[in-house]
Amino acid sequence: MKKHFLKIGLAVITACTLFSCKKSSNETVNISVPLRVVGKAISTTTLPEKDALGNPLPLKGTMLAGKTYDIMSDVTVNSGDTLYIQPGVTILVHGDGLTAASSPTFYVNGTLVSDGSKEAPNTFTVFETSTIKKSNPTFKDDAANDPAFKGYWGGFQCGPLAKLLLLRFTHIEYVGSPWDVNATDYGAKAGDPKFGIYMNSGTNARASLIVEDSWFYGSKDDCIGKCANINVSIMRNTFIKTGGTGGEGVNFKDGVFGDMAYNLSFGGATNGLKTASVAGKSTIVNIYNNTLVQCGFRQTKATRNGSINTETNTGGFIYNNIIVNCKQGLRITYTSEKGSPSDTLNTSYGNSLTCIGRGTPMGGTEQYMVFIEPHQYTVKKSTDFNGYVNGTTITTGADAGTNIGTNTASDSLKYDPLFVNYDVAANSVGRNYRVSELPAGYDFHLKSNSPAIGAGVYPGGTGKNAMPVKANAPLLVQYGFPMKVVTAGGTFGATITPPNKDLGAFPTDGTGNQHKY
Amino acid sequence: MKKGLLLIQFFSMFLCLSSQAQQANGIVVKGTILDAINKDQLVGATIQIINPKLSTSARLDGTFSFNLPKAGTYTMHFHYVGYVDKDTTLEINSFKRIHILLRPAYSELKTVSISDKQSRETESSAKRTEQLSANMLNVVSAKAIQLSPDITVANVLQRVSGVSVERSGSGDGRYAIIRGMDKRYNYTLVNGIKIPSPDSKNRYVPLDIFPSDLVERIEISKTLTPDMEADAIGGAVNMVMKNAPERFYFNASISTGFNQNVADYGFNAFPVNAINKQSPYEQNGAAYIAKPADFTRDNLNYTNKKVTPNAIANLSIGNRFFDKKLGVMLGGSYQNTYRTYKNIFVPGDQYIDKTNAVGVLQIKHANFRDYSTQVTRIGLNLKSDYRFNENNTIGAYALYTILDDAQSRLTRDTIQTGSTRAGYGTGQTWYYGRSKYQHQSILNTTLDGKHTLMPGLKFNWTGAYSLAENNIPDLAEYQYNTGFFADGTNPTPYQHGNTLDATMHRVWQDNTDKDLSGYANLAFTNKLRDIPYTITVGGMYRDKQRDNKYQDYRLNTDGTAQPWIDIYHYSWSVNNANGSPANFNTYRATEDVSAGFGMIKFKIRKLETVAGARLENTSLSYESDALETQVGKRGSISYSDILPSVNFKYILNEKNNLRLSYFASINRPTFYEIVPGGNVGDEYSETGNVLIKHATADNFDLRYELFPKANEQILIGAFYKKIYNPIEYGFTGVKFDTYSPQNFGDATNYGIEVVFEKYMGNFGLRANYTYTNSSITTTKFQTFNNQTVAQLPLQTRPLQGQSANIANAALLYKNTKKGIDVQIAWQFTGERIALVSPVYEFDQWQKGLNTFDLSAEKRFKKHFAIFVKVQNLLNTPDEIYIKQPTTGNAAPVSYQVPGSSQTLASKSLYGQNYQLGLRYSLQ
Repeated sequence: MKKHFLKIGLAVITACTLFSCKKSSNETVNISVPLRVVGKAISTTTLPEKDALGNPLPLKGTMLAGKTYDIMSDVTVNSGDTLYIQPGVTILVHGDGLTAASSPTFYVNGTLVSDGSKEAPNTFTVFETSTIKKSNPTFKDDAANDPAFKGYWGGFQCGPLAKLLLLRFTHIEYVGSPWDVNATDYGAKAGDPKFGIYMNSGTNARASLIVEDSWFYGSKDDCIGKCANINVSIMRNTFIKTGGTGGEGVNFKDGVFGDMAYNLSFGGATNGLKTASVAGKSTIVNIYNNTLVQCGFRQTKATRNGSINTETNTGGFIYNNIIVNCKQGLRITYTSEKGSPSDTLNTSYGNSLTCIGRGTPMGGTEQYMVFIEPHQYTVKKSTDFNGYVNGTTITTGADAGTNIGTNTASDSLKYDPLFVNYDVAANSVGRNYRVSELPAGYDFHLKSNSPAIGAGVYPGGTGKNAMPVKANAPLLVQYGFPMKVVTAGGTFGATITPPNKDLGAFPTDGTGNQHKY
Repeated sequence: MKKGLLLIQFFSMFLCLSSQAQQANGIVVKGTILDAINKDQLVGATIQIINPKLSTSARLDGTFSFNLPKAGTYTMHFHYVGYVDKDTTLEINSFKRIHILLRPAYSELKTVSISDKQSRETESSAKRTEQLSANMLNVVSAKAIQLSPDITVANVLQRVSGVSVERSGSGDGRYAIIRGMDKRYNYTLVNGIKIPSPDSKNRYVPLDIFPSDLVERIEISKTLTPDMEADAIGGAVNMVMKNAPERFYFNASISTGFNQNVADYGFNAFPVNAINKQSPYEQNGAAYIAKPADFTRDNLNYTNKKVTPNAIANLSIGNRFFDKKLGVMLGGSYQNTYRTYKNIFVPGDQYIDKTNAVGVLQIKHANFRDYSTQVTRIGLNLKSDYRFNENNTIGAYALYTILDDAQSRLTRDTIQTGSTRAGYGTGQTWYYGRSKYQHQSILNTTLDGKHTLMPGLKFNWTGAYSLAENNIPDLAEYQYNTGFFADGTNPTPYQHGNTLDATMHRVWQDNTDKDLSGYANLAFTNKLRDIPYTITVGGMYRDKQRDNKYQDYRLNTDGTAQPWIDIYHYSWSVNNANGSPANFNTYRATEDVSAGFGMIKFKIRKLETVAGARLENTSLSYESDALETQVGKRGSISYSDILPSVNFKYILNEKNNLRLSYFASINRPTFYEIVPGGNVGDEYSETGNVLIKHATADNFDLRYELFPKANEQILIGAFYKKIYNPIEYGFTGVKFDTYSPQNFGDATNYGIEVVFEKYMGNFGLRANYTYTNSSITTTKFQTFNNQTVAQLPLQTRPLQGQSANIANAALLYKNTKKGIDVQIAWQFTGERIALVSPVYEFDQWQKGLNTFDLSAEKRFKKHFAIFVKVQNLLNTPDEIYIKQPTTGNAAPVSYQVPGSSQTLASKSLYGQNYQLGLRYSLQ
């Protein structure tokens, strides 16, 4: 055992050393962190273990680095217990997505920490068989057959007593198996697909959901779905192929506070990032420095947005985002089929870039793309880059505050963010914009002549780069930008990256999203 | 208005007919013909003069008259079924008034007491029962039922004072509401025995399952005595099925008719036999992985049929055998009716926050729905009794009744908000097609005995077994969206293609309720110093068991944007291929009720007192198929209530009573209301509430009764009720989108009641009116400046389902000589809360409703009659409003009056129903 640890430790040190060599200008020191063991080590690799009667035992303790665990049925982390997963653990879930019983789910009523690292990430994926196939790059735009949307297993369902779900450098793949028995305990109905992560503290003390530097690939519906009454920090993640025929990358409901930043959402069915509360209750989530590409086209219903969307009584600081070839840009919603108006008082937004590579809103059978949906609250701010022309803002009546502007389709390429490797124009025509598989080698860092460079708000910035202040918005004043609602630092805390002077998830100073594709 | 005019013309036509019958010349003889014992008018008794041959019959008020050509001596013959004929010879020289008394035929027999033997089907007998009853009772006789335009018991009930009905989805009256109190506050008995409801949600039996022709009479008790089950706060309905007659009885009728809406719009039919009666799970076992092909399509394919006539047939036949010891009465009834109706449904559950203001109502969706419903009812009724001797009688009773309801619902839903809706005619639109087939049945078998053990000591017992079943297989609704709207690229709206929505549920529901019950009472009658008294003790026990099954499959489109062509071009995959193997809605539940009572009845001079107490113990438990790890997988609740009561009747004189009563009673939650499962409701999601409490009530009643003649009456009453923890339905969940039973607090109900019945010549008038003031005060939801207000506002409102004003009136015309009966009935149900909203002043109110029904009958050739019944003469719309404007909407909302301070939430137009039939009766 000890030898094994040593090996991993060595590997980590070597990797770090190599990494640090790259940068000659800045001296970086990396010292290996000793592997942490919480509670008992879990040496059995086929889980869950059963008692004499055949009932599954709840799981707690530490899953060990380098091991591959097979999950055969539902796993429960009891209230008060912790399941800690060392870096470099692979978890294969034996699920088929056909029924709840044959598609294991992690039920978390205590704490689950998947402590992957950049060098030794953790993986939760499906156990591949001849009939349970994984997806591959040939499934570009084929929701009917793409295994990414089969929902082979049930993800992480966190009950009202859960304290913390922390995923760090962790791959989560193929989630979304159906609910049956206990659907109502998690705000769902039998037959509904499970969200990759669901967490709702209800009236209990607010739990924390910290998801950072992780990769989500393939989900039947929402990837992080309908969480409520929790504090969040969702940073530097990649969301690919989220939602088969609908569903968001991240979807927060009532009573959620925190930050979503430096995430890349590529090929999401509906929105990449969404917040929607209920009447009389606030949700404030700051949404900044995210990059959203090719989202919104598998949602066939109108009135749904296709990138970043805030609805019913939600607000926050929404800055520094890049939206490219999505169905629509940012929407501060006045109305949608399901939602009610956003909390416009507690919303502050700007310094974002929206680009449509096509040059026409729609052609032939192509789905439409617009910068901003008119008749909603969103307007183009002076710090924004997009082709929307603000129109009349209604001043009286139920829709007071909404704007009736127009989209200048031909303006599209004017706002190309100049990603290092992504052709905005080529990817927006034909059916290319519907591709949800991220081709290898794509790079959403910014070319040196990108208009997104230096366009963001950031601590210490001045003028158009000054951190926004909205003194008359009590909740924005109270919660700040970024927020400090989750524990920061350490194994059980979040690493919060403040807004950057550049737009998007991949700023030039390398402090943002660390993923490579 | 035109229809109203027509009505008047129709009625006056009958008036002309009747006046023609009275030619005014010669010598006039006027008279009344009455029952010799109880002075009931013998309406329809024949009076013949032998020479010259003249004949007439007694009118509604028991009077008759002749115009004789000249003075002289006349022989008159008086005849009435069940009475001894009488002949009289009179010398008539000038105007003469005569009074004739006929003796009932059975009074010659001395074995059985009068009250048991009298034909209880007559209206006068009904009134007599009311007068003699120890508690406050209203009775509707079979004659009144036959005469009324109603084909089900539920429709008949709304003719009773203080009773209104709640309509089912098909527009038929389904549940009785007594004194405006919600249907849950009363229970239904068949021959005095409580029967289970086939409906999984309710205890109350759907009264439209009972064809009115099988019923001898209906008794509505508004106060309870200790020998009655205690779970009625409003009252109890007892349907007494047709008893064996004293001699051969035969009554058959056949009729047909149609619904005006069916004639106007046709009928959207789907093949019921295409429905899979069992889910793939039930068919193939728990391990089965359902495939897309396991779900049928034909049941979601609709054909508009033009001609669908109704068919209604009834038969009852009875006699006594073996020296009249064995009596048998057999009844059969068949009804097959078609209805279509239009419904506007605007769910008013959207509350939106406002900056620096309280939130407002916003309407998101406006649905226009076409319902087509085919209802088939079959009823079989066997009642028999065997009289061993004058002291011992045993009866056996069996009832089997089926209600099949096949309903299609085609919906067009237009979004009312947002950029996609620029005004009328634009906006995103959804189309839905839903097929619902429901099969319900009740089997009840009862054995009872009445024994006089020794003079003054009577023992009676009853054992009953009942089985109620309800089955809704494969409830399915497809959905696709389209519309005429701008999408942000172009301000001009354009037509979007029909695109299937992602999901469709297929739900199988099935429940069986089995009741086993036994009742035994011992009554001792004696005198103490000339004060007659009766002491009754008794007990009952009932074991009720439910087996509830639920399967919900969710089908998904295969991920591509599918255009909608028809149901055969809908490609779906099964999201939960093993169905719902374990869920809260698959459960077994038991409810045991045991009760005992002691009651004394005595009469000191003119004061009759019934006093006593009842102890009821309820113990309920359930176990669902939910996981062991889930809260509320199983549960049990038990409670005991001691329920005292006292009824005073002060007999002022033979025609006047004064009554005063107090009783305590309860109201139990149902299995459905307790078991915490989520369900798909007709309009909203529904869920049970394990924390629901049973309601208790103190009830006070005061009533003055005047019986001027046997079938005339004036009743004036007042009542006061205090209800603790009444169970009402409201919305829960953070988005108020789930409908569940709740205890909101305590309520009070008080009111007055007036009943008036009067007969003059061939005309009669029945009218009643009830005023109820009901109030309950609860906290309601409100927000200010996007935040829930710290101190939630209090709102006082009436109880759910409680109308302040309820009135009924019927105008009758009866010409016995010509064999003509006509009745026009009017019912008014004042506004009442249909749905309790959690939001301050957002309750949904049903608008006051006036309905008119008409029936007419003409007898010919002695045993035949043709009849016409018209229901809902004026096609009165049934409307529900929220008393809030649509402030949250920017564009005009569909189906609303612009600028109105209230919002239409629902409107149904059920159309007129016409029925024409032929009856043959021999008795």
